[in-house]
Amino acid sequence: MTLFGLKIWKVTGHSMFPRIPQHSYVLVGHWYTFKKIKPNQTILINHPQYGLLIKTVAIVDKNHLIWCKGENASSIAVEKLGPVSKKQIIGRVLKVFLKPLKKQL
Amino acid sequence: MFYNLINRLDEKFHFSTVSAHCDIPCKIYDPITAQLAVLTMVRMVDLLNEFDNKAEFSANDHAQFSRLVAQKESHGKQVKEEITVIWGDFIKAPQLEQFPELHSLVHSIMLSASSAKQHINKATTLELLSKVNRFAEIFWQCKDVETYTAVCPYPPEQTLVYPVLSK
Repeated sequence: MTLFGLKIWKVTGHSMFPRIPQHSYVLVGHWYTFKKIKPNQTILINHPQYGLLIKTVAIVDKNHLIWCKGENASSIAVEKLGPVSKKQIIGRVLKVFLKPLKKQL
Repeated sequence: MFYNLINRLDEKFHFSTVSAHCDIPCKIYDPITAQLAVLTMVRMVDLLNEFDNKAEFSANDHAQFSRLVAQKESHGKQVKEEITVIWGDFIKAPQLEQFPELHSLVHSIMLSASSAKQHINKATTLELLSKVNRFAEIFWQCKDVETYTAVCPYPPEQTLVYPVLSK
């Protein structure tokens, strides 16, 4: 359900913990991809191998390719994930609705 | 508060999910992959040794020789990787107390795997196989699983340590 280019997604997996624990919700701005992508922004990407992923931007290289990372040691390594182009970005996370701590435990 | 609200909406509308995919330790460990990789190395050495009987190398022979060497090399790397993962992720203090030889055995496997990659020598690969078999034996003992040895029913027909798994 997309409204004005905004959509809520449910996060599965632990790669973004502790910033975004599993089963948190994120509000994603799909039209925000037109804006400049910078390191430390959280984005949704359509990865050719891993599918739909939520990741943090590690660096944007001189060829304008975006290298993404997870938030903990268990995450896929940046070099293993490889770079993605701007076309593969689905949107930028604008707001995170964290799962309450009691429910995480 | 917002979370609970969105959670209720999710129960009704089923939001799309996005994966925060990661390489979390999955507890799936089995030394058989390392054992099969060594068997492949042994098999490659057997096939490479067949070239000794050839007086001349055709282009196809050169290609085949290169392929066999490349496979031996890549499976040597696989042996090292599979053993390292089990050693680094599965083996903890209790297993080390129970089997103090583990560190030196793993180090010895690394050296033997390098040596087996460097040479076309059956004795070296068989020595590696014997060490990896010992590692497999320890691994299954750590899990209280009995083992037995049997000759694998396919080339290179070498002895492997297998777990006795109940039905």
